[in-house]
Amino acid sequence: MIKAFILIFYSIISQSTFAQQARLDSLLNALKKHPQEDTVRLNLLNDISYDYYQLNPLEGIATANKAIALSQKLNLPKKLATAYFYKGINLGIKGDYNNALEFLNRSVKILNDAGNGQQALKVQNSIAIIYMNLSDYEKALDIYFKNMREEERLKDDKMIALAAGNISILYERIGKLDLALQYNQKEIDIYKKLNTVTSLADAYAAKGNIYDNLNEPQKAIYFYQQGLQISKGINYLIGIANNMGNMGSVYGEIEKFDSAFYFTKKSLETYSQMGDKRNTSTLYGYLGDIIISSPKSILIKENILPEKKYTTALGYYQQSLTLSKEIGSVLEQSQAWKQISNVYKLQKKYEPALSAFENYIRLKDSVLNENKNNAVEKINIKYEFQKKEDSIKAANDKKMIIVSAEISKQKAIKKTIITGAIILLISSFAIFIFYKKNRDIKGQKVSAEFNSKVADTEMKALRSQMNPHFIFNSLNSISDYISKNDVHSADLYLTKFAKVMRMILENSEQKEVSLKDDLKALELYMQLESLRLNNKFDYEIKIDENIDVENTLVPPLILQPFVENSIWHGLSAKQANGHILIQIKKEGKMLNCIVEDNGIGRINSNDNSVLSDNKKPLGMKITKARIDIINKLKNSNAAVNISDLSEGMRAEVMLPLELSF
Amino acid sequence: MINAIIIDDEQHCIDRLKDLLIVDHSAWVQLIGISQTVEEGIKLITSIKPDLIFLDVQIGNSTGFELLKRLSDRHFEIIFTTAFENYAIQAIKFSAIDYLLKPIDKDDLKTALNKLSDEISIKMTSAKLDILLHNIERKNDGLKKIIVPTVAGFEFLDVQDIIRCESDINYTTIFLKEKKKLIVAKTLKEFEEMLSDHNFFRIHNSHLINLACIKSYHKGKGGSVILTDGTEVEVSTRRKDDFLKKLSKL
Repeated sequence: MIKAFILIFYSIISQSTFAQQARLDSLLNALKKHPQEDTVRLNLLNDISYDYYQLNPLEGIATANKAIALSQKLNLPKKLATAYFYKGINLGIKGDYNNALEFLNRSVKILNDAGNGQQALKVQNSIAIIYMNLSDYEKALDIYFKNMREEERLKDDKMIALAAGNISILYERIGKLDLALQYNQKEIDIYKKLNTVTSLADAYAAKGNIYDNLNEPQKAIYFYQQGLQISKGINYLIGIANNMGNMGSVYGEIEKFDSAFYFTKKSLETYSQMGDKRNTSTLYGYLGDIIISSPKSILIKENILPEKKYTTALGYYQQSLTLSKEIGSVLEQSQAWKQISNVYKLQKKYEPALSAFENYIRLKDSVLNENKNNAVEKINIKYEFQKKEDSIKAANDKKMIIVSAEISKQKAIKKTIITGAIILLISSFAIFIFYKKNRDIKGQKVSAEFNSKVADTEMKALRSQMNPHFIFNSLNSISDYISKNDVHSADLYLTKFAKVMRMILENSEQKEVSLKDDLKALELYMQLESLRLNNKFDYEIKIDENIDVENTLVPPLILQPFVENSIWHGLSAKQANGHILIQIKKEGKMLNCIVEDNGIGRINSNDNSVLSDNKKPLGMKITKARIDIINKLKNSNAAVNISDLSEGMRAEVMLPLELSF
Repeated sequence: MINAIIIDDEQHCIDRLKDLLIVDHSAWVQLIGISQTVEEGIKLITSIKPDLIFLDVQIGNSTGFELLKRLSDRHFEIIFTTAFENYAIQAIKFSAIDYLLKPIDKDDLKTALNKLSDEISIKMTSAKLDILLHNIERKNDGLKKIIVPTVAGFEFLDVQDIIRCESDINYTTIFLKEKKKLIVAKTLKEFEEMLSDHNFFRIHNSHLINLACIKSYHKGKGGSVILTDGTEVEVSTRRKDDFLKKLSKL
């Protein structure tokens, strides 16, 4: 059974019918007092027309006509649009759908031309309701969804709720109850939020209807009662009638016939009062159904003769049919025909039953035929698709953002990994090189240390060879001195020699001594020798000014063997005026130590030891060996050069310049 | 006239010194006594109160230091005579007392005696000897004392109080704890020789530092050290390796 439903066209104000009546009365009073044909009157007419739409559509239409005439006269298109709108809804509630559509469309055109799209939407909504009542669900749903999208964009909650409610009703009609419930809930939520009580009452009624269609009568009754309670609280007639009518129908279904009668009749009364033909028609149908189903006891209680119950029911059905024909509602007509056919069947009047049934089928098909259903489905799909598309687009955008974020993240990760890998590679390579170098250096260091140790030992050995060499030569000198002088002076000489020897011993303990110390020792040695030889020679020490004698290091006793050689082999043979010149020069990174004498030289010397390398004096041999070690140790090119002068000879010792600081 | 005595256990050493004094210095140095043992020496000193003592370090089984320890009245000058005893020479150097190495060189003796006549150091002897004996007793710990000649006279220092020495041509500035400093008429090289066995190291031509006073070392070409008094001293490139070796042994 298809439940009755109310049309919610457009309600600007939410108030009780009594308050509405009161307002209407005052408006009518104002109109009487204002006969001048001007804007004030026009506004009054429009307001009155609107107020009539729920109370008396016929008067509403009449008033709207006046408003139309006046606004045309005053040339006020906006007011005209309003007047057309109100005429349309009055026609709609009256059931004159075709005319309603005509005026509503006019209104829309004017509003759109004037650029008032929002107002146009409201009118469009009413148009959709008309289409729905005309069973043109395709057009209705199309408008609803367009409106809803637009309202959602404008964030107009009230209109969204309205659209949701209408969509819910439409889905219910075409049997998509889950969707119907969904949109109904949306509607209820908004109304609760907005505290729009009348609309909430209507929405509960709609919810009850859906549950009824879901064969859950208890739930249905629960929601109807909710709606009824709210409606009664504010004396909202439509809500009262609607909810009571529906309750009557459901009680009939669950065979609580007394309650069914009570509520149905109450509702019928209210609707007739209100002049709502469509709902009156529906309720006549209910009443017929209840009469057919009721047991005798109830029928008697209702003053209906049980034997005449079919005739009575048929009467109500025909009234229903008449009314539905008047309002042009195919659905209502088909319903009425079905009921009529049923009654004929029960009366065993099969011919009229069949004829009625044929009418029912024909009309039903026109309502729920495949094409229409498909069309509805198509729009539904279109809407859902568009919605989906929107959400897909949004999701895609989101996805794209996520994806691009992910891509850049991945890129960054990739970059980081590559950079990290490169850094790792480079650093491991560097570490390897460093390690290798370090190891090499360590190895070199170790071998260098070893080499230097070996060389040091060799050096030490050589130096210690110098000491006995020096001592023996000194003993020779002392012996020579003693043989030539008295004991006393020999003793003094010895003391001096002890001093030189101490110094030389001290120096020779060190690897390197300062040039100053070495030269001091050398000088003392030369003084002693000069003393021994009765000052047969003198000496001179020349040091370059740019040499810091204290800070310059030399191997100890490096020059002594050359000086000794000059004295013993060059000068001792000479009679007088011997001269030893010691020069210390800085040549680049080398220290050149030169010993020159004006002795007899190698050519005239009887001593062959100065001539060839293997016959060199021991001291010079040792010196040569020491210099070789120095070269090995310091990777230098220290050298000894012995050359002949026109008179005497020259020994050059080139040493790497070493500084202590 | 300086009244001198010789305390030495070896006759030939006595003879040589006697010889030298008579030949070169008889005009102002008079030898008034000779002793060959510590006991005799003490008696001799207390009885004749000489102005100058030529004191051998090693006297038989005893030492000259032993002799000095037992003297309460030390109003004399001392010149040590010694052969080759490193620790003794070191101690003598620390106390700024003169010494002659045997066999005694005629020129060295002359220098020593000249120095004696120049200096007004007689009254310092007792203090110098205290330091000397202190150092001899504390042969191996670091709590040595050193006497340094300053413009005003002598200064007695604990070696451990010296943070660093800085050369200033023929002078040396000694930086001590508590921000004190001294200018001494000795070369840095002399200090280096004296102190390098006492945990001092010459890190630079101009710097000798107490290794115990290093707070931190900063790497560099040669690097530098921060000392406990907050001063930063450069380490010579050529000394770096030796210095680090020395540090690692600390």
